[in-house]
Formats: sequence, structure tokens, C-alpha cells
Amino acid sequence: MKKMKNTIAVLFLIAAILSCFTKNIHGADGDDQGQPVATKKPHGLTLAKAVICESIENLEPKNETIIFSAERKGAICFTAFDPVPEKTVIYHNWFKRDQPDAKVKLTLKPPKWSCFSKIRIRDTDVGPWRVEITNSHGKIFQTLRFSVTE
Amino acid sequence: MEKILIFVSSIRWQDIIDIAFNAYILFRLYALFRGTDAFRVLLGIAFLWILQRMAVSMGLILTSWMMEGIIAVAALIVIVVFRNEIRSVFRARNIWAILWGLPHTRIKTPVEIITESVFNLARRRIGALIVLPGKEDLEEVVQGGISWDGKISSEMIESIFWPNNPVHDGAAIIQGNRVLDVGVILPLSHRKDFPTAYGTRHRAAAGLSEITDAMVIVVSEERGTITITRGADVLNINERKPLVSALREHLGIRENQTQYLKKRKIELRIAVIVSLFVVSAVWFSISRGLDAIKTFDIPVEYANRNPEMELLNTSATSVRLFLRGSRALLRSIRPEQIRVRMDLGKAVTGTNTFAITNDNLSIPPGLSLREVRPMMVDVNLDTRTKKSLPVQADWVGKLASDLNLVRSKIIPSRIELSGPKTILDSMSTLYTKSIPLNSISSSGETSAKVVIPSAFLKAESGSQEKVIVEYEIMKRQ
Repeated sequence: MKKMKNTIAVLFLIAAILSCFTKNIHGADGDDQGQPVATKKPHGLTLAKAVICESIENLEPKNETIIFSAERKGAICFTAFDPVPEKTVIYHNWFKRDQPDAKVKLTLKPPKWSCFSKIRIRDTDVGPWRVEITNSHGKIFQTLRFSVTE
Repeated sequence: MEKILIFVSSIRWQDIIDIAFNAYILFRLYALFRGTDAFRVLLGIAFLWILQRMAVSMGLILTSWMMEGIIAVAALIVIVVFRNEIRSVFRARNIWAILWGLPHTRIKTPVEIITESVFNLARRRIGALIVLPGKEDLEEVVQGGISWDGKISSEMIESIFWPNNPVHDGAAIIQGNRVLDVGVILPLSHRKDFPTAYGTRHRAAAGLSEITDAMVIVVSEERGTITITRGADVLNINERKPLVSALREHLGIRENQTQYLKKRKIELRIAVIVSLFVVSAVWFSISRGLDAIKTFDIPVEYANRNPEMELLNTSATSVRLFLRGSRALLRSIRPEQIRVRMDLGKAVTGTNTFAITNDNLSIPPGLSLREVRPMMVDVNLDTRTKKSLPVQADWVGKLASDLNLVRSKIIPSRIELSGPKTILDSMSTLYTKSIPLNSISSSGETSAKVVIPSAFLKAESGSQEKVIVEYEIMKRQ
């Protein structure tokens, strides 16, 4: 019984420590060209982080950038939602100069969820791009912008 | 008979006015210039023109060219050589006389009074110089002079040349029944064949007659003789009768004036008929000549557009008109004389289709529309609106391999545009002109112009078309 109490105490302590390190971050509706966003924590489905990066390592974006060389062959849109009140879907809508290029459906699960989508870059894809992160009703959480160069 | 009826019924009231108006102009030109040298030369030019047209119809290329050249030069010469005559025609009459007056209504010069005065002056040995102008204007030839404007009487003429009168030395100009100017200085003749008895008065009289169509009467102070000069002629007068005859001839006064006026009336009526005939012939040859069809590409004008709407595009900026009419008329028509005008007063947003009908055309009289291509025109209109759009940098080139452009900020981040709703609805982003990466090695800022993708769009006042791009460079991990 005492052993069980100790185990519960340790788990509670770990949960408390983890909650202290959790950032109060949320996603914002709007436009971003690689600028950080940080405000108070809301209650509904909230975009906590959205970046364009070159790769994903340990479930975290690596080499955030807004420029991709066509030689690199791929671009990644990373999004982290916190909180996720219920299981839902979001979309990463990729546009090349206002023309839709790809629409990636991603499922989010409570309590928080990170996900990413990746597109292949071809030599003909040079130019300005944007990714609109939307919910299933088309509401835009955030727009990320980047360029593909030669 | 049927053909005649069809022809008569095809004549419009505008055609009748057209012919009547031009015939009247022709008649007025005849009435004003009749009897002048300029009129005779104009008749000669008209004859040359008929010859030139005949040469063209016969295919005489060189002759027609030569005639054309001669006519052009002759027309210029008429204006230059007969400028005084032309000017005097218009100057001597008021506007009413130019438009309506007839030559026979001009005031009669009292020849008998002049003759009596001249002989009285000669008898008393009083020197005198009397000018009776012809059709030419004397203003540029004579000098000085004092305006007199007095009705002629024997006593007045004699008093003008009375030795104690301050103006007795110059010439008196008589026009109609009035003395217009006195003390006028005339140009001197340089002739060397004059008798030694002739003095300055005679030289002045001959000088004016040589260069104009005026007649001058000279009374010698020394010998009491009377001399008249006209053209190059110098004639001594001893009796009244030759002077009266010379004056009547110069002034165009006939012995039997009533008969003369009757003859003039008949002449003028003939002139009216000839003018009508000539103008009708020209009109029919132009408007009812050989039928031909000619095509014209005419730009379409769009009018009465609602100012709230923007004309986005049209299916046709110009239309091809097939016009029918006489060959001569079609040849003389320039495309600028034809207009195709579409009324957009009732047009709505979106695509409007209009049929091109005669109501949309403005074509010179005498021509008719045979065909128009295209028959319909689509006009795309849109309402004007405003929209604020985010601006995105358009990076080009390559960064150094060890550098990474992690973020950028555009100031201002949005630009407000105004323009057609359809275009603005289709737009979600504005892009800058290309910003080269090659020269970037560290964080900084640059300015870039924003590309407005349509000529229909414009940045709202207050919105800039140039933005500042701040960028952050980091070393690649």
C-alpha cells in the first residue's frame, strides 16, 4: 500500500514538473513569414506552432527557413496544436503563386498534437509559395510564406 | 417611269437642302466676282479641272498629272495675284451684301456732275486729280489722304481743289456718289515717253492707272487741259461727250439702264439655274454614282458607362463595316468620319451582349450599311471595390550554402488596392519584384516594389507601392 502511495506521489511530481515546463503558446489566425507568435493559452483547438522547415528530427522541426533551393527537393510544414479538445482534422493547403498545389489532410488527437506535411520540390516550382493551415470548415489558423529559388 | 419614281422617292430632304445650299454658294461666288479678272481665271481653272477629269477617265496618266499640277499652281496664283481684287469684293460690301445683295443694286455715280465739275475746274485753270476706282482695292497703293465722305456736288468738287484749300494738292477718290478721301498721294509713273508738258499730276495719274484698274482724271493747272488715264492709256479730253462716255464705260453705266438691268436679271436667273444644275450634277455623280462596297475597320467606342463600373474587356475592340455607296463618295471617306458607339447606360455587371445596328453607327450621308462583322459584341463590366492584400517577398537567387534565411518581415504587411471586384476576388497575395539573395550575407533590410498584376488595379491613396523587407539570416546548423 505504501509502495503504491509512493508511486502515485512520484507520478504526481513528474506531472507537476512537466506542466511547469509547458509553454503557454497558441496558434493565431493570420499571416506569418517566419515570425514567432506567443500569447496566452486558450481553450479551443489552438495552433501552438507553425513553421516551414527543412527536416523533422525527434518530432521537432529542424532548420526553420523561408527559402528553399530547388535542389533540396522537399519542403516541410510543421504544425503543433495545443490544446486539442477532441479528435479533429486540419488541412495544410499548399499554394504556388496563388494556385493550389496540394491539400494535405491531417488528423489531430487530444490533448495536444504535432503533425507535418511535406511536398516535393521540382525545378519548375521556383517562385513564392504559401501554406494555409485551416480547419475542416476552411477557417485559416495561419498562413506561412516561403520561396523556392533556383 | 417606275425607275424615275424610285429614284425620286430615294431623295431625302437633307439631299435637297444639300444641293440648294451649295448651289446658292456657287451663285453667290458668281454674283460677287462676276466681271473681275479673278472670276475669269477661276473659270479657266474650272475648265482645266474638267479637262483633268476627262484625262483621268481616258487613262491619260501624264496629262492628268500635269493638269492637276497646273490647277494647284493656278489656284495659288489666283490668291496671290488677285488678292487686292478678292479683298475689295469682300471689303466693299457688308456681310448682308455678301450673302444676299445683288451687284445691280450698287449706287450710281453722278457722271454728269463730275464732268461739269472737271470742265469748270479746267476753265478756271484749277489743277485737279480725281480717282475713280475700279474693282481693285487701292489701299495698299495710295498713301495719306483725309477721309471726306461727302455726297458729290459740283460745288464740293470744285471747292476741294480750290487753291486755298489745304487738301487741294492731293487726289480725291470718288466711289459711288460720294467723295471718300481727299489729299491722297498717288504713286508716280516712271514712263519716259511722256510729253514734257505733263507735270507731277499727270505722272501720279498714270502711275496709279498702270498698277490698278482705276481711272484718273487730271486737270492741268497751267494749261487748263483735261487728261484721263486708264491702264497704260493717257487720253486728252477736249469735249464733254468723250469724258462722259469714258466715265460711263469705266463705271459700267449703260445708255439704256432699264434694258441693261433687265438683261442683268435674266443673266442672274440663268446663273441660278446653272449653279443648281452644276451642283446637282456634282451631287448626283458623288452620291448616286456607280455603286460600290468598301470595308472599314472602325474602333468601337463605349459610352455612358456607369462610373461605378469598370470596363474589363470586350470581345471586339473594332468592327469591320461593309459600307455601300457611290465609288466617288466611298473614295473620299476617311475612317475618322465613321463612328461605332455602344451605349453602356443599361449594361449590368458581368457579360453584356450588344448587337451592332444602324443606331450604333454614325456614317456620312449617302452611305448605307450592308454588313457588320462581328454582329454582336460582348462587353464585360465589373463593379469597383477595394481589398487589402498581404505582401509576400519574391526571393530569387541563392544564399551562401552555410546561411539560412529564417524569417522576414514586410513593412507595411498589407496594401489596399481598388479595382474590379472579379479581379480582386481572385487575388489573395501581392508579390514584390524579385529580391536577389546572392548579395545577402547577414541580417538587414531592403526595399522592393510591389507588383500590381493588372492595369485595372491601383493602390489606394495612402497605400505605398514600395515596401521595406527586413530579413534575418542565421548560420546553418
